[in-house]
Amino acid sequence: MSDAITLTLRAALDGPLDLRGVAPDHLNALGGAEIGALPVRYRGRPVPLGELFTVDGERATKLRFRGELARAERIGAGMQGGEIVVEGTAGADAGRGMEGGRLAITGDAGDGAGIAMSGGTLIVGGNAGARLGAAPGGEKRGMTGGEIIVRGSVGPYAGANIRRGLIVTGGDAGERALSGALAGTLVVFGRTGAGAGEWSRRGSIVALGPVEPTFTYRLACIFQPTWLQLLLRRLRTTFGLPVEARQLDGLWRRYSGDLAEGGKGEILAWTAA
Amino acid sequence: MSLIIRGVEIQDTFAEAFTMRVARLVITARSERWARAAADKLTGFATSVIGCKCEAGVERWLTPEETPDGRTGVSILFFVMGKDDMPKRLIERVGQTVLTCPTTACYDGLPAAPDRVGVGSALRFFGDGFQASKVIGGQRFWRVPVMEGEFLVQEQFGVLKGVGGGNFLILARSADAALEAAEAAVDAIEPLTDVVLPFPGGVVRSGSKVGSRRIKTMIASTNDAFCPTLRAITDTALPDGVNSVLELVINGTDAPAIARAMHAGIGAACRDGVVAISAGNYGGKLGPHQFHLRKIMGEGGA
Repeated sequence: MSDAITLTLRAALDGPLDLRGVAPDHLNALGGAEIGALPVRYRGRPVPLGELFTVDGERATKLRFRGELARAERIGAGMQGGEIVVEGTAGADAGRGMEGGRLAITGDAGDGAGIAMSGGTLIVGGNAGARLGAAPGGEKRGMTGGEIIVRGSVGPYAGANIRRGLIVTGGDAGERALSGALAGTLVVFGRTGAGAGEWSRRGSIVALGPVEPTFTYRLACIFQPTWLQLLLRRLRTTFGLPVEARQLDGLWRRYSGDLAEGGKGEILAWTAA
Repeated sequence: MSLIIRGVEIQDTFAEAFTMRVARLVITARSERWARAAADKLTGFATSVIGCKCEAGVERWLTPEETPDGRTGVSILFFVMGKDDMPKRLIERVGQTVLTCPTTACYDGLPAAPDRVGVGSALRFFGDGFQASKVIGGQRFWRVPVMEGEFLVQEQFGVLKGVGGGNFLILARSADAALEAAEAAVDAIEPLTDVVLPFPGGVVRSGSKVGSRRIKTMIASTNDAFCPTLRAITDTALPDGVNSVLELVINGTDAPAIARAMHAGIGAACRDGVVAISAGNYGGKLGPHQFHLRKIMGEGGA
């Protein structure tokens, strides 16, 4: 048994690689040779994992990827436990359908990271693409649980149709974040793009930076939500996010919306006390 | 073999205590004024399960660094006899005394306790459909809209087995001496964690015995054996020279916590004007916990 299993890319990928199933909750019972023999789809054809990666370690609950993996899709998809660390960039759909465990990507994540996630923690050190934590194409529900922390910015439709869970972006959020949400929370440290929260029935957009609520949101009041004290303190202590004292002590403008959907959602826009 | 501490006899007897269920509530507020207001109301009329259905007291004050939301707070221990009683009592107490109090929030102080009871999950209905929940760090909290803003309450609270009814009696030459000793004992116990003194100021002047001599339906009546005014007409337990008795009742999260508190309190109560320290019991037939005074004082309360 090793502390971790390290998969190092042998050569640059020249086509899409589907890494679904290569997760600690599956690999922790396998020896090095068995791991190398696992079939994955590369450029549409099944190939042994060992042809693409060198395998170092076995029977561990921590899995480490090394190499340029921008074309590797579905890293950590459906994982239920353990830990995956991607040292660099990950391709589309990283952490898709994740149920538990921790997936950390030190670089950027492609489109659809954390899509339909129901548990666990997804951490992206760089930026994330479109539809972060959103619903899969053609489905009504996005993530239903878990936490996604992106230290950079995120693309459009982050948290679209989210049902539960937490998404945090240390940078900006693209247009139509949390649109169609049923519940859940999106925290944006940077600028919140246009159309945030459109068609949302519930859910909270916490905007620490600039935000212009769409016309279907209406200002309700200016107050200090106690729950934000819990959330922001946790983001600072657990994830090291740059929450400032003036943000903890500040006032928040509460906009209710989407009024076309009952108005039980909200945009909380920080304003200096 | 007698045990004398600063001229005060520690009687060879024991306090008899019961297994109860305990919850720890953390109340925070914008300022100490409002945390205290909520705590006073929540722990008011919570001296004995006999008449109040619950027993509660302030365990300690919390600094902003110790509370979930970074505000001033207070930790309260809340006791009932059975686990099934806990949700009802917590819901009515928190609902009437904390939800109503400006700026407060209410959190579970026993997050590791495996037994959980719903509190916020019931109080949320006050929100009349406008309430919302948030899961933060794996715990669900309810945001209940109120006229002032929002009341935040944790969905579930942990419940542990605790101990209620630890006690000792201060047998003094005068009422002044008894009160002075009782106040010193309270001051010695108050800094301790995991215990509370549910009676007014931490002190009971009306210790009781089980049942009644005259009224069969009464659960408890005055402890005539320790009433100085009845010395001449009852089977008194009072040594010569005793003219006033006060009792400290201690509830705790476990037996060692009560033993530590008894050790601290009795030690402080042994002073001029006090004749003896005794304790209330039922012959060892009712309560599963026995706190022998001489063992506690001889062994440091461990």
